[in-house]
Amino acid sequence: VDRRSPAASASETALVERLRLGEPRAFEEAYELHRAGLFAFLVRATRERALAEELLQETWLRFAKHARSLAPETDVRAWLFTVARNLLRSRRRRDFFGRELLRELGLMAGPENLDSPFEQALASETERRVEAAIGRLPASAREVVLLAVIERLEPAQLAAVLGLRPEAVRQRLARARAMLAKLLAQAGGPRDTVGETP
Amino acid sequence: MTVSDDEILERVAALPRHDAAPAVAERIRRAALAEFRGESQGAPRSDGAARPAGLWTRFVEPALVVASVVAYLTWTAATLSALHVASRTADFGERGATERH
Repeated sequence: VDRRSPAASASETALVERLRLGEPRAFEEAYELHRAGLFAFLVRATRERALAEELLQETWLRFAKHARSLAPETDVRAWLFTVARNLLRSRRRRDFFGRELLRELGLMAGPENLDSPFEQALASETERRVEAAIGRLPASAREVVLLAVIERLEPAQLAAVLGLRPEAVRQRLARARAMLAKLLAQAGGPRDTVGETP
Repeated sequence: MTVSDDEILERVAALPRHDAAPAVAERIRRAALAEFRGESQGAPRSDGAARPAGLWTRFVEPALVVASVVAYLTWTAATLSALHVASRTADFGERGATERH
């Protein structure tokens, strides 16, 4: 179910129409609207800034290539996140053995700290623990948390991006939330109540 | 389950957003926009209309591959058949010569 407001839907339809006509201004508007969200998703999903930037560029190049042939009712946000996720999954499949082996041999560092030293100093202990717990989630759980909770994709968008039925999305999110709670409880010790399942 | 009534999800939602470095974001914007402009300068598209590049990849290339494979198999079959006939002829020739002696 598309829960976007009628105004938002109309504005999206108009944007898609302008993209189909090849208007550069429409492309720039789409870029401004969705760049930050896509990058935020990719950088937390990959835990590597350089890889996230590479995938961000690839996503936008794909969008540029296909923007004129989008269907009129296309949800641009869902389209972009679907492409970004597919690129990420295909990169994971391709790199799995190479990266894992390099990490085993100590030739490659583990997931990097995504914040600058200044941001690290500002981040609270809770933020650091939540970030670390998200980083330790399995890929499928991490992506549903990032898309549903941080990027706040609508249920229909989530289902489209993950290629699942809405009910399956809800179940995956519930499982991911339970894993997150467990990880936070382990990290926080017995006195921490954040990890308790309500 | 909604974010606002769940303490854990609320904390996740409150995490700061990481953004790409401005120089990187600008570089990607320029590259993608150039690609978009390049695509826009091509022939106007309509839904479902096949472009020449699509025709080439979808029909001409597969046809060439199939034709090459058929030609190769035909040639192989003809060569093997010729070799078989030649070896039998040679065999008969040898037997005839032995019997004459």
